[in-house]
Amino acid sequence: MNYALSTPNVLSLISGTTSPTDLASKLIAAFESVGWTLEASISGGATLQGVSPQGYLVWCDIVAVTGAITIQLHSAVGSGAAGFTYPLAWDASYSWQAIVHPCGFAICRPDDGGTDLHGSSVIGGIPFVATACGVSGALGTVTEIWFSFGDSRNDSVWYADSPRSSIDVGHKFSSYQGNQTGCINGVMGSMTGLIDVWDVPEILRFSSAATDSPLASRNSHPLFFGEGFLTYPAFISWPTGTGGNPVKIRGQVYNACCRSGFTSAQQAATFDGLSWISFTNLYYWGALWLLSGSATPETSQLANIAY
Amino acid sequence: MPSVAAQGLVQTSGAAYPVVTALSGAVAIASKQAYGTFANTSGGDNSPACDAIKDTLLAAGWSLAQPIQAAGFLFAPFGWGATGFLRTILILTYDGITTTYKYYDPSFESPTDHTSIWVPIGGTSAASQQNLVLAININSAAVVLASIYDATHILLTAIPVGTLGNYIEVGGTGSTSVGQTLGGGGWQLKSSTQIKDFGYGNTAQFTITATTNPPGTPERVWIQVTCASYTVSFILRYGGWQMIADNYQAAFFCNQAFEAGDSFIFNSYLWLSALYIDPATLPGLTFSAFIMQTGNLPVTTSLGAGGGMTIDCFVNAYHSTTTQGQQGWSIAMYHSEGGKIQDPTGLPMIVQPWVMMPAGYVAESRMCGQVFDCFAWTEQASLLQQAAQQNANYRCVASQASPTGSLWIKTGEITNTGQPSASNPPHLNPTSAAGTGDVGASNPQTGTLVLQQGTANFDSSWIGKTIEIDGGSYTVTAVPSSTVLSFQPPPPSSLLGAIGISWSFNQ
Repeated sequence: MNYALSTPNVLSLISGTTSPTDLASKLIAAFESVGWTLEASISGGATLQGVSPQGYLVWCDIVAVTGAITIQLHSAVGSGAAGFTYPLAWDASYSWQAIVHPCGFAICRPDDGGTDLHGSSVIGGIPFVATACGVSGALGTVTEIWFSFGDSRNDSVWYADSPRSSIDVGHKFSSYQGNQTGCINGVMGSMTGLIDVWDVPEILRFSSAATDSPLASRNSHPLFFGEGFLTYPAFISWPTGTGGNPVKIRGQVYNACCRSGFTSAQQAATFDGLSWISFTNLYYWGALWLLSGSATPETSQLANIAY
Repeated sequence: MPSVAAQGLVQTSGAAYPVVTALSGAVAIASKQAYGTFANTSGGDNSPACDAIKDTLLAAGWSLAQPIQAAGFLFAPFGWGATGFLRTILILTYDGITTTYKYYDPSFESPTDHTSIWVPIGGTSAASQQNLVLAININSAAVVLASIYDATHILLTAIPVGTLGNYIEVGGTGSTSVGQTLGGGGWQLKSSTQIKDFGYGNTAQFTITATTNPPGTPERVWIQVTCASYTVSFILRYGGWQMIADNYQAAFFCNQAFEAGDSFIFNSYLWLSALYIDPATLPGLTFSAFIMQTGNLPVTTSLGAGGGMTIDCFVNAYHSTTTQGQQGWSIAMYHSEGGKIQDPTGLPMIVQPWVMMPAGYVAESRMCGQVFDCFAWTEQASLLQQAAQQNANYRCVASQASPTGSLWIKTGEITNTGQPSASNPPHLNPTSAAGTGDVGASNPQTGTLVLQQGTANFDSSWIGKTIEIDGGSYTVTAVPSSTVLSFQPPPPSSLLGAIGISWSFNQ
């Protein structure tokens, strides 16, 4: 299988932080170590600029606030588009895993499967966009493209779904509107007034075309005869509007793939000559896997966004 | 040499398609496809329908296992051996020739004419019956084989093969004898197998018997499908039918409205398919097939989201009778329960589908292979709707609204598959079209070579010239782009989906 690769790719563990400011500082350093550049210093943190191998840009604000840090993507090309501000709750006892590359990141707590009510994971960045093929010609000019997933707020009862807990189901409740974001050419996927869990960015799942049963015991894992799993590209997709509009593939997540096995997070594996770690925790339909190690330019291959 | 990927004719949107390359790179393409039509007529002669089924399956690479001989009876309710004005016992007509059999008593009679076959009576009914059987087998040896069925019945089995025997008329006198015109003649065919043709994979094989004598409803087309010693009986609805077949599967559809009084109004869909098995992905799976039919119920097709079809699934030694659903039969493909899935330009995607079936060792279904000559499309379609993709014609065999999707099978129809127009079926995803122009009467099975990496480009000036691919020589037929090239004859199956093969072109 061909992967969209953005290098260098570094996994680092951050622990023993003394304050949200300390955590923010360490995350900023991790971003900068793989190529993000300081665009501006802002109160409590910094605006960093990421660049994809295709040359697309995005800004990422990492800011320390009371009891947490926040992460937000926004336009680096002047469109004014801004994503959601995700909280990552801070505590001195917490440790974090940060996987970063020049145009993307996945930050989570290894001991939490995305269910912390106060924010424990954020993933986002710029995807690979179709190029040098018929689809790219039909797509036209892309000026910017980026996405982000994470929890939304300190809620005493609910947590928002994200690829940490589910690769494709969005938030469940109206109070979580707008926390899974996608932007293309300055246009945000419509994220307000949503009550449908599917009207949000999703990483496209491969599974039975039969309707999901609400009872897990009446579904079938998308596994091969013999229990092998399918490995396939992580396509990031979102609809243009609300109310069941077509789910349009926007691009392929860098340094990532999906596997249809039912997996707990933080599992390590080596395949196709690369080192991986599972990001999604115990989702019935499969998991998002992220590159955990480096990938040299020689191992970079044509990304197959199906085009 | 730049590395290239040879792909079969089915291709998702563009040069590389994620699902297949994520698996093995193999494209499940059969060597033959065929499309046929026939009519199942109420009160009419449906032997031509059986012939059409046979001819279409043979064109699709099936083999004739045996003809099914027509049969009928001569019934003498009061016994055998009447003479006098009741002596006529059998009137046999075939191909315009009528042969009349009459009894006579040799103790005092002689045959009175040479236009009939005179049969001497015996001392008993049984002896007279035996004499008649001998006479038939001597004088009508090219038409029927007679044998004693019981004391009052002579079984007549057609000598002309298959449906030809259905035209043999057996007449009695109405008093001393009753004739049952021969019927039930037809054909039995066997599908090929992947392991025979590819040297690996699926051992599943179908036997189809097509006749016109289903129990309880004579003269109607009757298809019996056998797989793994299990037989599905399918009595067809009256009306016009279409069928699609390749070496390993066949599908039958009746899209016409049912006729009033027809007892099988819902028997309008039958699809039997042996799947492509990639041993690298499915180790331990050697038998994988399904038979899908309406079961004479008001059910519908789908890719798994409901429908109610009766589906017999065969996974190794495990057989289940199920329907569409999560733990029944379904297609595995990209899935969203939001809106329909589209590519970045807003067009439905073409995806290679996997078939999920009950696997036996677990309560859930598992992916058990791929349908040959088939792709899934992330949009609905009408049953039997046509589309042209990559210079081949496809027809829709299943569709559903939510999650949105449809299944398409290559038909082998050779039509104008050039630019979409009022007279041409449309491309389902124009951005993935690899070629234009009429196919005409040429073999639509061309090879496609796709350049995935490297700096060399294909050139349209190569058309008509020779290219060497993996040691074989081929003629370039089209160069739709600098990275896609079409050639003939079709490549061997070992090259289908192969990646990293070498090629060279000498100007």
